Amino acid sequence: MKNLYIALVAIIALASSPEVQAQKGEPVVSAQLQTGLVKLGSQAVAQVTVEGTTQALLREVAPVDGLDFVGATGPKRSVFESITRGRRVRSETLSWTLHWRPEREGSFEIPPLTLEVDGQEVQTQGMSLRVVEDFQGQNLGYLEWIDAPTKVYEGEPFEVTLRFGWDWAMTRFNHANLILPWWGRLPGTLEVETKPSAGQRQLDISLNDSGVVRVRELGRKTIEERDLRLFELKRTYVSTRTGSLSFPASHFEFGRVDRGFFESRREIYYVAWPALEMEIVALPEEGRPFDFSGGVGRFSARSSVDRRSLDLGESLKLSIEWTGTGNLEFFEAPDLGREDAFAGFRTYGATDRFSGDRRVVVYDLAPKNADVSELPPVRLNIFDPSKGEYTEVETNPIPIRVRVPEGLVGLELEGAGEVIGLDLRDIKTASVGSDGAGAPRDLMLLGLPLATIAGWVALRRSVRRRGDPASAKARRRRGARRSLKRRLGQAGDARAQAEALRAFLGDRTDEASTAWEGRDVTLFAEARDEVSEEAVSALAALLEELDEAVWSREGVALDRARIMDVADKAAGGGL
Amino acid sequence: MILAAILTLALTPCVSAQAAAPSDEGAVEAYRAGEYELALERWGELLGAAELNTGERGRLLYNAGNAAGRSGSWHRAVAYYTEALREMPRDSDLWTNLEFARREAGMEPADRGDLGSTMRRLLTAWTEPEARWLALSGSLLLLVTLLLEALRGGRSARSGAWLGALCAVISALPLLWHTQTDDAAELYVVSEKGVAVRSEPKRGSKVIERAEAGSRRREVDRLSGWVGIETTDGVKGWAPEDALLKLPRPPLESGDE
Repeated sequence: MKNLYIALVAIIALASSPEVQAQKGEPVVSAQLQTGLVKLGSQAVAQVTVEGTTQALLREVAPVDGLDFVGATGPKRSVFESITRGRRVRSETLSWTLHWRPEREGSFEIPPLTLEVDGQEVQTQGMSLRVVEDFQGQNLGYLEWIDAPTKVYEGEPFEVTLRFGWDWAMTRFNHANLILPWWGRLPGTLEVETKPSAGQRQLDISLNDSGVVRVRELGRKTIEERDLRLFELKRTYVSTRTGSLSFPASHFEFGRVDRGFFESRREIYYVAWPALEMEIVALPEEGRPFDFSGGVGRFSARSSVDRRSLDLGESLKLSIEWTGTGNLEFFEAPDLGREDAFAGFRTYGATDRFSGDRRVVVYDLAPKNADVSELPPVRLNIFDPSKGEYTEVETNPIPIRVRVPEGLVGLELEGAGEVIGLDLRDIKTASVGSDGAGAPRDLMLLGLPLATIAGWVALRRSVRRRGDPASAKARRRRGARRSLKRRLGQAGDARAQAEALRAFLGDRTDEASTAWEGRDVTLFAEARDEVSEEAVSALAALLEELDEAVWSREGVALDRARIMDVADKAAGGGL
Repeated sequence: MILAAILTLALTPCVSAQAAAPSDEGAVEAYRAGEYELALERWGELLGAAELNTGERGRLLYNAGNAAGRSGSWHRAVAYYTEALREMPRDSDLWTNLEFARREAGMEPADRGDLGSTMRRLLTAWTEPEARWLALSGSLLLLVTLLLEALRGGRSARSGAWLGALCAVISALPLLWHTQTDDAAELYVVSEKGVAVRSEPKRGSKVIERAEAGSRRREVDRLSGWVGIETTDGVKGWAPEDALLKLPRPPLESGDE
């Protein structure tokens, strides 16, 4: 998780870096003071550069209280060359030189400068300037660039070491501040991760008054017969274009600062080191191979494979690990799918991983036939700055065994090396029987809906003439038989059966069930012509029989089916 | 002797006609032998000559599409497959081959997977006889729900009737689509670069429209080497015959018997 976080931060930082922007073709604007500390009476000088454009205009410089702006000269036009993805790219840079004269001591913040680049308004970063009356402390302090290269090749990583400190006897000193105007704004370079030195105490000191930087404490050292307490700051960069590279003058501020409740006491000293200049040299054209990877440095390569024995059709993972001192992060790894040596393999892809001091690319390969007996060497063409020439780094071949699985013969074996892909599905040779016979004709399809609608209208009208079929009365009448059946199912004697039948009759005639207690069915039917005689006589007989059963001592229930039968007759007979 | 001669003369055309009659087996043999043009020709003849049921016509169109594709004429293959979709719209092999042929022809997929394509595929997922049965089922459902509404009334019966009516309309849509699109005079543009539709049937006449490869046009006239087609504006234009493909299509079934 931590590695993932670091990788993410690195990607974001790289993507937003000015050099990456420049490679994308976007103009990059930067501003840098030639020194972050000046003496009162001398001038502060800043360089403003715009890379990747030919049209830029420096707008008005905002006034700063205490700094008298003397003026600006420029723009000066320069042409640089760089190699991006194997192609040589030319870019133009415009630069201005700005001068200020400090009017008093103190710390000053020069606000971002505004420029018009290709019709768009852009701003530089702000700059910090310290003005002091005099530099004191050259004999107490120490500041020096150690083993800084004066010439590096384009793309070659280089390390710079700044060593600084103060007299060992000055044990009371508690303040240290590096004033490095080039920090984070070196045009034409990319900062890469610096390997930390083991076994040394690390501590944070102040940087440019506003930030902190982690440095290594070297402890007590003697330099030129001076006994010193020393610290060291290391940084690694990769140059991205040719030309000169300048680290402006650096200062080390040290001393003692006591912060009291009412007043603070400061005893500050300075020590300076002039600007560090180096030349970025273009890679030679002579002897450059066609497949130069862009790697610059001294590399070594090692290969490993996850399996040495496999079946035809299976894949293996070939891992190539490049280590050494060089731009491991930036070279283009070989594409084995394009290598003639790997023509006997199918390449399914590769994963690429960089972790500080090593680059690992894992290739997914599958042998195309059983004749393959080894994984060929993987070659990488790089430039070795120590020799000043192009060289090839290659891995050792790895023997492998490819077996043909049992049953893979004939066409399958023949086709084992062919590309698998989509194709037409085969023709259909079996005749298809008739499936559309007897499909409904137009007349039926048109006639049925029309007849349905007409029939619905007629039926609806007819039914509504006898009343609303959805009324409570109609629903009660319709549900009478279902209710009778349920009640008869629950009835255990003739009394309950008689009550159920009366409830049925009440439901059918829209009356209370009590209306049918002791009613003469024949008289009732005569009053209603629509009830059939047969139904009336059957109903009358049933009611009489039920009464007898109720008033007899036993009260035995009648046959349920017979009651239902009579009820159906009555309902069917018009009741 | 004379009788034998007469009989021989009378039977000769029949025998030769039988020998020349196209057969599916012959087309399959030609296809398997890699003679795709011949196979295409034979399946084409079968499509034009025989009274075919829906499934069989679809199969022959599918096979003809394969033959056209194998011979490198992907736009022609697309035309055959598209036509076959009417007969076997849910055949997965057919859809696979259609999409494959469209990709090879540089055309967009027939089913883009968006809502519009999905709705269209639902609508066209029925053969014409199936669409008829579906429409009839919808009508029967309407009949049942209306009967219930007439006899019982009430809110739920009314809702049921509306639902039945909606189902009837939806179930009739596939048939409606068939009746609207089954145009026997339809032509496919099979020329790889599309075809220039001209105002008159001659090479030098003014181009009034460009019909894209894979598009369909209605035939309105025919002259030697030229076909009169309807432009998108409904105007008559002319295109070379060899740039267009007409696939014989049986007329829709109707009640006229």
